[in-house]
Amino acid sequence: MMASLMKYLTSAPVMAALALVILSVVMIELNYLFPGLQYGTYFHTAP
Amino acid sequence: MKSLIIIFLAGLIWLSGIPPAAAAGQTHLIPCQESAAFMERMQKAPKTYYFDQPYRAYSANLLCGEEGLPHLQLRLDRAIDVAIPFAIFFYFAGFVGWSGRAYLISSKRASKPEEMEIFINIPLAIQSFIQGLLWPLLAFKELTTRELTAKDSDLSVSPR
Repeated sequence: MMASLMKYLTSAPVMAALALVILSVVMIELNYLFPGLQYGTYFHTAP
Repeated sequence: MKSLIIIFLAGLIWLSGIPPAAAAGQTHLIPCQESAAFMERMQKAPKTYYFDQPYRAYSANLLCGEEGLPHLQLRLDRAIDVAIPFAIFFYFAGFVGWSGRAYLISSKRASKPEEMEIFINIPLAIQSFIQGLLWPLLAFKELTTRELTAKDSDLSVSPR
């Protein structure tokens, strides 16, 4: 049971979806840490 | 003759494509907060977070043209505006490519390579990601030891 669940979870579409979620979280956090990033005002202090 | 025409045409397009101001090395860019056209755009914009924050960032940090829109200028003291995003993109693209390449090369050595493409082997994937983080060094190493490119004898050439 556990082995087949792990096999399902490691299938390429599930892993791709997981990678997409992780990437989205990273992008959202980057935008939070450096608010200028999305405006092309890279690493200048945002007002 | 053919290459001469190509060079001539390329030169013609090159010369006609450059606006005179840029060719002379002069710009009319001013800080956005001093540009009347930009301030007008800023005041006309809807008052929401998604407009306020970008406009405030532009007015504090960027240079605007006569039409009141921000421009990135290719000059040395502003090089970081272009260099940092380029470096991030380049490193990330290399990371993705190198991780995938490392995973495929390793999976080829397994007994069932096709299955490893459908069901991801997590330990191997993590190992590939770590290799991917070091991709500039590994790429340089493989380029110097000639592992990166195929041998000339392995390439098929059509008869000519």
